[in-house]
Amino acid sequence: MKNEPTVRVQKLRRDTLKARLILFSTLAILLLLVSVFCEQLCPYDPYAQDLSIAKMAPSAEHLFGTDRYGRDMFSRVIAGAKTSIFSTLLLVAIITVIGTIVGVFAAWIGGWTDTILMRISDLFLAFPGLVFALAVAGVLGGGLHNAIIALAAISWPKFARIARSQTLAQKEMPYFRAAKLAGGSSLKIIVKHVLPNIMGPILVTSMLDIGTMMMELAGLSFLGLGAKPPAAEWGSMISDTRGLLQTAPWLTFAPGLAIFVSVMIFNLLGDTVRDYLDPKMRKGARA
Amino acid sequence: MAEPILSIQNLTKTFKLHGREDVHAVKDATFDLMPGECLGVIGESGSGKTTLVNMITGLLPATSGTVTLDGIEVTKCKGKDLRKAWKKMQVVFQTPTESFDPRRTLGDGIMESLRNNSVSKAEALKRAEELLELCGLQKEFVKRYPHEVSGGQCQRAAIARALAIEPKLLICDEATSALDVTIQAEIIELLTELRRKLDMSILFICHDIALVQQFCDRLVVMYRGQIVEQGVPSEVIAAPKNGYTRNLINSIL
Repeated sequence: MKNEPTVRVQKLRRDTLKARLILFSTLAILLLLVSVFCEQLCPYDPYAQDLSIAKMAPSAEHLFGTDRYGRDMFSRVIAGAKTSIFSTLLLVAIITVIGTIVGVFAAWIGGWTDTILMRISDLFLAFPGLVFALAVAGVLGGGLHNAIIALAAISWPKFARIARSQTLAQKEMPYFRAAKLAGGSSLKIIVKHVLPNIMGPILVTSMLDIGTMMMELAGLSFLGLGAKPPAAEWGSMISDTRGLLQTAPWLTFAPGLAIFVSVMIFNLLGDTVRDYLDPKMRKGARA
Repeated sequence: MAEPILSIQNLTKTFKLHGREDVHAVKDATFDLMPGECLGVIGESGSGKTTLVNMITGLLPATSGTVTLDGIEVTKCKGKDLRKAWKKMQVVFQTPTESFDPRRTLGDGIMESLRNNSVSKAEALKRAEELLELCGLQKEFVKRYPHEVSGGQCQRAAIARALAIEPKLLICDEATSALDVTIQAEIIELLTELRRKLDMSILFICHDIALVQQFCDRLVVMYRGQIVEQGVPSEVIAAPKNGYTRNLINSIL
């Protein structure tokens, strides 16, 4: 036991971890609040055009300046938060649920079903994600809905893999055999025993995926396959304004910064949650 | 002579491995267990004891041979019939803490089989508390989580869980191996007492011959998947017929 960190060090680590968790979840909640109340928070109408004030530099009146149609950039960034963050969360929720269902199902049935499902997911994992999403979005046509469908179609296998391996691990545990011997149906055992025990790693992965998915959605929008103008969405805003990068760089920086900050917050939150759930950091969890 | 509660005939499990020789985990095992009897199965690690248990409970399909439990042919059962068979037999596992769902209380675990057989929640809770007291724990343990109690206490709770639906056969799969010697003795004492009170049969799987001989009516010795010796403990130990049994006894006594 001498090589173990002392109780005080462990406590300190745990305290800073808790502080980090509180900090990042507060920031994430703040982001969500901004996107929920974006209409109230926008100082100007994000879609109102006024060509007389087009391409204005940042000022006290227009914090991030105005774009070439004279729309207030600050309002557009806030309005974009709703589109970008909610569509990302929706996307992550979809792939988490689909992936978990497929993974648990494959592990539960086993045999050929398992092999076929896993080879399909291997196929998806083998393709470079964004390229494949581009192809899918291209076939489906543009629009935010189709971008979400395209990204969901290529991103679920990661969750299916995790859910499958976790379920297989649970199936080997003695408590699993005890639950079967107690006479419960398959569905009952999955809902009561398997899902609660595999949710931890899956939730952490989905938290960590929020940032990536936000980037990929913005990327698709940037390429014109996501949200369509004039909709305020960060990716398409960058795409819109990149022609003006030399004359009015703030127009590109504002949504870029918004993406950077939100991806950062969600990634750090994901990291912290992962550390927080790590049993090694959890003193006293085991007797 | 009475009908055996558990009858095992030529039970075999062969694992096929790609490109390598087949592994006979259990080969041609035949033995009976009479009502109220306690039968000890001993053998070293890898001798096929756990495979045997998994086949008896029907969790693992047998390659050939039959397992008959109180008139039900377990080896032919599937789904619903298997669940019927599980009302007559329950298992106590080797690792007590892992044999309970870490996210549910001990009470939940004990009540599970009752709830699955449509016993009301209040009734099941009352039963669980009674069972815990029967197994020497306070009834407050229904609210405890498996990581909050010691291994010995957890194993008592596991026995309470196994007894919940009043099985005719209790299978102890190395139920005492993960516990230290004093706790082992307590658990054995508990099992002896329960057996007298509830009049059930026990299949006691173990690798400790000294433990088995003081507790069981009859012994089966397994070696590399095969039964090499059967008999009353005193006879087996006094005059082992098989070379492996002799080694096993010499190594301990």
